[in-house]
Amino acid sequence: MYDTNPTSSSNNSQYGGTGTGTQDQQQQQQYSQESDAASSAPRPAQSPAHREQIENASRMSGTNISEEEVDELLAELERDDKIPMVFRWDGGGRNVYITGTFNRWTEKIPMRRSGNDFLYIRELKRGKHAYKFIVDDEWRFAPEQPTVADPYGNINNFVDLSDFKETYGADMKSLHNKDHITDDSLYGNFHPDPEDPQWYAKEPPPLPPHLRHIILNTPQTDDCLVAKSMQVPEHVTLNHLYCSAIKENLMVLGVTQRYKEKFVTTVFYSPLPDAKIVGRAAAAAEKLRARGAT
Amino acid sequence: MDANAAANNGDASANANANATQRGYDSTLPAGVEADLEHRLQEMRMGGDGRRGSHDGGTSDEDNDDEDGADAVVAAFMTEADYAEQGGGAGANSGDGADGGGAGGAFDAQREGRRVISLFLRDSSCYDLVPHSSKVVVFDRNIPIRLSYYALVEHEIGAAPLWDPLSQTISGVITTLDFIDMLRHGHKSDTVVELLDSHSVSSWRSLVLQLFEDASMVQCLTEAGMPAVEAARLAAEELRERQAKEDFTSANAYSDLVSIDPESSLYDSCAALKSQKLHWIPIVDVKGQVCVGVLTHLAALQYLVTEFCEDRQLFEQPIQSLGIGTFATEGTSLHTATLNTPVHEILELLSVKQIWCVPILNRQRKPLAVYSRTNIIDLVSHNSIENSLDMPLGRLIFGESYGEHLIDGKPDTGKSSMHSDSTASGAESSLGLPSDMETTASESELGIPSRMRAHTCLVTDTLQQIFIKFAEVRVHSLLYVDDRGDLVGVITLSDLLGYFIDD
Repeated sequence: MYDTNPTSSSNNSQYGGTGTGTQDQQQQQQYSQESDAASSAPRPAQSPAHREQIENASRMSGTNISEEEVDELLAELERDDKIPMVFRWDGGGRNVYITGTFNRWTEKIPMRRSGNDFLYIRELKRGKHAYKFIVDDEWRFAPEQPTVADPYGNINNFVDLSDFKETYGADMKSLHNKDHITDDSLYGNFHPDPEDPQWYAKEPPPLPPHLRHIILNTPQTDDCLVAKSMQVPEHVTLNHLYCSAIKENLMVLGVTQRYKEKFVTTVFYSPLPDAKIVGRAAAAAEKLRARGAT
Repeated sequence: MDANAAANNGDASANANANATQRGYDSTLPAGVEADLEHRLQEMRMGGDGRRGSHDGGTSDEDNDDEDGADAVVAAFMTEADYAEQGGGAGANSGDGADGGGAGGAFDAQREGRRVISLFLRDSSCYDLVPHSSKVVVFDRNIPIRLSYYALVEHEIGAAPLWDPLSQTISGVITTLDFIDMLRHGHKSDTVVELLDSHSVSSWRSLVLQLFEDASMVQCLTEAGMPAVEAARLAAEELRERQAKEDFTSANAYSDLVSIDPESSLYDSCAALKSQKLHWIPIVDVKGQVCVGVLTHLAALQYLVTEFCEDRQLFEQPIQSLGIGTFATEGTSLHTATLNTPVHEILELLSVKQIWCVPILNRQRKPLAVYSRTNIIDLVSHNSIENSLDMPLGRLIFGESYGEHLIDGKPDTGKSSMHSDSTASGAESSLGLPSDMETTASESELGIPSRMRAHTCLVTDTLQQIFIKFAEVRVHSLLYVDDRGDLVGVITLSDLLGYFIDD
C-alpha cells in the first residue's frame, strides 16, 4: 500500500497514456501501477469511524445528509490528514531533483540547496511512499535512507508514514492531563547547597559564541547626540546582562534593550547591596535617625 | 547689500551661503504669494534708510565702530516689535522695545524664520533625536561621589540620570554643575576630600536640603559625625540666597528633577530647558521605565541642522541685530579669566554667575581658550582633584611646563616668532589680524586641549552661519569677536535655541 488516494487510478491511467519508452520511465510506470493496485486495499482504519461520527452528528441535529455529502466530508478530512515530510539528499551534486509515488513519477521536482544538502518538503498522505533522486541527470537512491527494490531490481528509497503521530499536539495534551506542574519535586525554589561540589564544582556551560561580541567594548562613533551613538546590536544580544569586574565595591552592568524602533544600551553604575561604601555619611544619618526616634 | 539682493530674487544658488539648511525642498508658499512677498521686501528696503537711525542708537556700541552698508540695511529690515521680542540678550538691547511703531504686518524674513523653526521643533519629538542605537549611562543614587565623577570622565559625558532604587525610577540627573558646586563649597570649607569620598550623590543632596530647611542642624550633624557639613552649610546658604532672589530654578540642583517623555515635542523640551535653565534633561519613558537618552541643546541643534529644510533666505540677519547672546556693553563687561586665574575662581564664576563658560584671554585680551562647565572632567586627568583647585588654569592645562614667567606676567620672548591659527576660526584668520595677535601665538602653541579651544564667530555673521558653525564645531558656546579679534560677547546654544522659544 504505497498510496491510498482513491483518485490515483484515474491519474495513473492518464500518465500511462503519455508514457514513453525509456527504461527509467518504464520502471516508474511499473511501480505506479503496482501502487495503483494497492489502492484497492481497504481504506485506512479511521475512515469508518469518521463516517460513523458524521452520520451520528447528522442524526442528532436532525438534518439529513446524503451518502455523497458524507463522502465529500470524508475526502475533506483526508485532505487535512497530511504529514509534512522533509526529503534530504546529502550526496552532493549540482542539480538535484526528486520524484516518487507522491506525484506518480510524473515530474522531476527540483530540490532546494541548503548548505551541503538538498531539501524538499511536501505534505504527504499516510502510507508508504517510494521516491528516488535524480542527481545531475543520474538516477540515485540515498543509501542511508530505507530502500526497497521494485520487481525489476531497481532500488528506490521509501518512507512509511502509516503510523505517524503528531508529537507536538500529543505532548501538549498529556501535559494538561497529568498533574506534573503541581509536583514540587520537579519545580520549585530549591537552592543548591553551595558546599556541595556536585553543584558548583562543575564547569559552567560554554558561552554561546554570538554573546561574545560585546557592544560596549566596541568603539563608539564620534557622534555626541542625545546619547552616544553605538553600533546597531545583533538581536540575539538584546536583554542579556553584561557585567564588569567589581572594583571598589562598584558594579557596572550593561544591557541592551529595544525601544520602539531603536536600541538603547544602558550602562548602570550600582553599589554592591551589602557594601558600606558611603559609610560615614550613612552612619551619621542613621545615628541621627535613631536620636530623633528616642 | 548682496545678501538682501539674494533674498529678494529668491535664487538660492546665487547666494554663497547656500548650504545644508537650504537643500532642495519645495517652497511652502505658492508662487503668487512669493511674488507678493518680494514686492513687500522691496518696499521695505526702500524705506530702510528712514528707520535706520533709531536702530543704530539701540544696538550695542560695536556697531558704531565700523559702519557696514549691508549691516545697516539688514538692521533696517527689523521692525520694532522684533526688538521687543528678542530674548537671551544682555543689557544691550533691553531698551529697544520702548521705541514702538515699526512696519507691522509686512513680510518679515526674521519673523518668518522664527516661525518656521518653532514649527519644525513642534513637529519633532525627542524620540526622533535619539540615535538608532545609543548608550545611556545611569548612576544609582547611592554611588560615591568620587566614583560617579570618574565615571563621567570615563564616558566623556556631562550628565547622567540617577536611579533611585527605593522608588525604582529615574529620579533626577547629576551634572557637571553639581560637581562644580561640590568642589566650590568643598574648597571653601577645606572638605573636598571627605565630600568626595564619604558622600554619595544621594546623601549629599539630602544633607544640603536638610540644612536648607533648618540651618540650626549644623551642630547636631557635626556631632553625629556627618562629613563635609561645612560645605553643605555653604551650599544651603547659597540656595537660600538664590531663592531670596526668586531664582527658584537653582534649587533644582538639589531636589529631584523633571524628565521628559520621548514623545513630547522638541519645542516643549527646549522650552523646559529654557524655563528651568537646564542643560540636560533625561528622556524617560515612565511606563516602560526606560531612559532613552539625555536631551541637550547640542543634540537639538544637530537634529535641526540635519533635518530642517527651508529654501527661502530667512536666516540672513546678522546675529548681532537679533541680539542673541550676551554682549559686553559699556556698563557691564563679560566674565573672563586668564591662564593665571586659579581654577576655583573660574568654578566660582561658572556657578555663581550662572554662565556656561568663561572665556580665557591672553595678555592682549584676545580670546585664547574657553573654560566651560564640561571642562571640569579634565580636572581628573592631571592631578588629584583636590589639588587642582588652587592651581592657576595654565598649570592645570600645561602641567609643570607652564612657566613661572607667564604667571608673573613677564613677557614671553622665546617663541614670539611662532604663528598659530589653532584657536582662530576661519572667519577670524581671514581678516588679516593685526600684528599684536602674533606675539601671543606662543601661548596657544603650547597646546590648548581641543576641549578648551575657543571657537569664534563675528557679530556680523548671519544667523545661518552661526547655525552651521555650531553644528560644525559641536560645542555649546561660541565667542563673538570683532574684526580686530577682540572679545565682544558670548553666544551659547541655550541662547540660540531659546530665541525660537516663546517665553
